[in-house]
Parts: sequence; C-alpha cells; structure tokens
Amino acid sequence: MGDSVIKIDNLLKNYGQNEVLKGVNMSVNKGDIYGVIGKNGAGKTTLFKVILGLSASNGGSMSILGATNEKENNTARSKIGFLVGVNFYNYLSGEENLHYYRRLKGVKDTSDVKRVLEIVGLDHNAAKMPVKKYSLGMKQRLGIANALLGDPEILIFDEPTNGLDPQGIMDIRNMLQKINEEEGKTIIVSSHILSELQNTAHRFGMLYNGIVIKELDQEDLRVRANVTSINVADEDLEKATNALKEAGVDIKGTEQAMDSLENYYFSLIGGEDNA
Amino acid sequence: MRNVILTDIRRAQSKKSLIICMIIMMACAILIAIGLRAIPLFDTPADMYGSAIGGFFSFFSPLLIGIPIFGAIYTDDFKSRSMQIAIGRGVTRTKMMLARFFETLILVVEWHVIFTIIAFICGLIDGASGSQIASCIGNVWSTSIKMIVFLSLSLLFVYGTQNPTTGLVFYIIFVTNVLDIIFTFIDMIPILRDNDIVLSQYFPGSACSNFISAISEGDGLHAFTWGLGVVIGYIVLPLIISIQIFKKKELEF
Repeated sequence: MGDSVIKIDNLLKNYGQNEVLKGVNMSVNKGDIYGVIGKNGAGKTTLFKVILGLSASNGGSMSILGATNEKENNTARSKIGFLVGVNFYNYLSGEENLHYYRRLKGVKDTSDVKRVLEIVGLDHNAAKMPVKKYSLGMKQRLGIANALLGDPEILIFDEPTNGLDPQGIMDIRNMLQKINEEEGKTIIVSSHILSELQNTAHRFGMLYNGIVIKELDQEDLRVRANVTSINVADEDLEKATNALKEAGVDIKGTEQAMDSLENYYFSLIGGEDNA
Repeated sequence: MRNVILTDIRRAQSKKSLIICMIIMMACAILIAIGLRAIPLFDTPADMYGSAIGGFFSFFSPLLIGIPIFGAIYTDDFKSRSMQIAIGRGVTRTKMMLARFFETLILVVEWHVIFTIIAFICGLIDGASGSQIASCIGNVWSTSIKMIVFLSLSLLFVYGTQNPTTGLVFYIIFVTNVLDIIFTFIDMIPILRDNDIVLSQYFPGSACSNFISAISEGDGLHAFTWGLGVVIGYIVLPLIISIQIFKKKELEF
C-alpha cells in the first residue's frame, strides 16, 4: 500500500432529497492509476466535483495530499489537474485556450503549452485551429493537455473516452498510461465501460448507488479468479489434457479462447501500431 | 485573483465584437462632430456639440459597449465554464465573482477613457470651449457610472439563475430606463402623491442622475455624500447578495 494522496471517508452528497453519494470511502495511492467504475448515474461526476470543490459535500471528510481541513484541501487543489466536461472558449484556438489557462493557473513558463500539446499529440495545425472546429476526440485531448498544465501531482479525468471511436479510446488509454509511467502522475479516471479500465488502472473503486462497494487492485482480480489458464494451440489440446490428467491435475474445464472484439477490430484496420 | 483578472481582461479586450462596437462608436462620434461642423442646422457646431456628442455616448454606450462587455465577461465565462477550472484549482467562488466584477469595472473605465479622448477630439472639431468639452466629458463619465450600477444589479440575475442571458435581459431593461418609467408611475399612486413621497428618486437610474447632477451643479457636500452613498450601495449590495446566493448554489453550468 503506497502513500495516500486522496483519502475520502464517509462522503455524503445530496441534491435536495436525492442522495447521490451515500458514504463514499476511497483511498488513492501516489503513482497509481485509480479507476472509478460505475454505471451512468452512479455518482462518479458528483464525486469528482466534490473532490475538486465544485460542489460542497453534505458530510464526511476528505484529505487531499495530506490536508487536514477544507482550507488546506483548497490549497492542495492547485496541485490537481482535471478534465470534467469541456471547458474552452470556442472562438479561441486550442493553443490560445491553453495559454489562457496557463496564465490563469499562474504558470509563467510559456513552453509548458508546447510540452503538453506534444504529450497529447495535438500537432501545430490543430493547435492553431479554433476549438469550435475541433472533433470530440481533439477536445478531449485538449482537455487532457489543459489538465497537465503546470505539472500537477494528481490528474482527474471524468469519462475521458466518452463519445470517442475505438481508435480514440485506445489513444486516450495509451496516453494515460504514458502520462502515468513517464510523468509519474497519480491519475483518477472514471468510466462506465469496465473493459476500458481493466487494462489501464492499477486499482479500482466500484461505485454503485452512491457507495464504493469494493476497492481492489489487479492482484485482487487475479486472486479472485482463483484459476490460472494455460493457453495451448487447438491441435495440442488433447495431448496437454492427457498430460495434465496423468500428472494428477484436476482440470476444471476447457474453454476456447476468443479474441476480443477490440483486438479483432484493430487487427482488421491495421491497428498494430496501437498495441 | 490578480492572475484571474489579468488573464481574463486580456482575453476580453481582444474580443472582436467588443473592438468592432468600439470602432463603430468612435467612428459615429467623429462623423457626428464633422457633420455638425459641415451642416450647421441650428446653432453653432460648438453649441450643438454637448448635446449631440454627450447624448450619443449616453444613449449608445450602455448598449453598444455595455452589452459586449457583459458578453465578453459573463456570457463567455458561463459558456466556456472557465470558472470551474479556477475553482477546481482552489480559487474561491467569492474571489472569482469579485475578479469578474473588477474586470467589468476595468473594461468600462478603460473604454470610457477612450471615449473621453474622442469627446475631446470632437470638441476640437466643433470648436467647443473648455467648459463645453468638460460638460460633455462629464456626460460620458456619468454614463459609465450608470453602466457599472446596472451591470452590478444584473449580477443578481446572472448568479441567481446561473444564466447570463437572464442577467443580460435585465441589464437591457435597466439601461433602457424601463424600470424607471414604471417607478415613475408608482409615484402617482394617490397615497404617495398626496404625501409628497417621491420613491422614484431612489431608484437606480434616478439615483445615478441625482448623484451626477450633485457633482456637476455643485449641490453641496450633503447632496454629494448622499448621492455617492446611494450609488455605492447600488453597486456593492447587489454584489454582496450575488456572492451570498452563488456561494450556496450547485454549479449547474
């Protein structure tokens, strides 16, 4: 268990009579990609808004980067970059928007804009284009670039792949992994698509009906399965089964492996580059 | 907060709509001044200058400059949701609202400094005397005070409804004196009229006019202080109430 950069205890949030968060407990470790999983309406965006101070909680406690009260949390928020919705001036170019937010965040180094544009893969032409001409995928990239401005310690991305095509989803997923591995950022990312986070996140929080019903990591997932699979070619199956039986191994069953739809799609369109 | 103000002012200043309106205003003022000189219909150009140029700025500035400023600051802010980025970075809502208000104030003052120069140039074109130019410039600045008061009052509706369009509608209602006309009718209610109670003098438009005339006509310290108090009240109170309202609101944009 690493150092906790965000710790949430019994967090409550109501909208009138509607209880959206009913006592969320959650802990995010430094350097992790933490996946918040939940169906639409589970409270993922609300949870992020409360963490970011965009919405006030109705109870419980929260500590960001070791803060002990709300005032300290507010100061610590300057070390969070986030993408919650799209926040841009449509008539300005992507680059102008990033310079606007760079100044707003008090980042003096103008080259930071170039750095974040490179990370998210928006080229010079795209950066000079007005945001109103951007596709959804480009807006998401720009949003991630904005979050990266000022080199924050924690990044929060709310459904960053929403509305994107498979290529866009894979690009964003790879980008998150790259940012985590190369920049060493702690990332909290939400999605209602489980498969999307399974290969990206180190730890998961399963939000259901306003409560985190389970927190687990990749190892927990493996242990939970309690079964190890051995992959053999179809023509070797009989031989392998007999050998294992002779060795006294209890074979619980055989299953023909199926390529994932996603892999198949990318193999068809020549997506080896994305692997 | 300084970052927020400077960054957003820089963006708002470069908005095309604002610059275009500004150029139209300046061009029209100069054309009027030249027209007065070229076609002296009534009095001398200098005699017409004050009412023509001063009247032009008084009538058109709140609309042609006030609306683009409102759009550049509040409409853009809500549309882009840039406020969320700042709040998410730890800037409090109160600071954000104050920042936006100061931006409005700076832009209004900034543009009226330019109008002052234009009014001065127009005065020179029409051969106006120093006192005529000063009176015209006074008119320009009295308009700026009204604009600030009306913009501040509109904030109640901007932040109360979290919808800048509602605020803009009320701003237009304020600057076109619709409310003052309604309030003038209220003064005609028999019980008020019979007791010489003139409520309309306390309403925003009249309060600003009274304050301005207290300055220009030298109505004495009492009239000046009272007028200043009312004007400041009309600027500060809506701002305080807006902050209190918005503090408790969920961000719905």
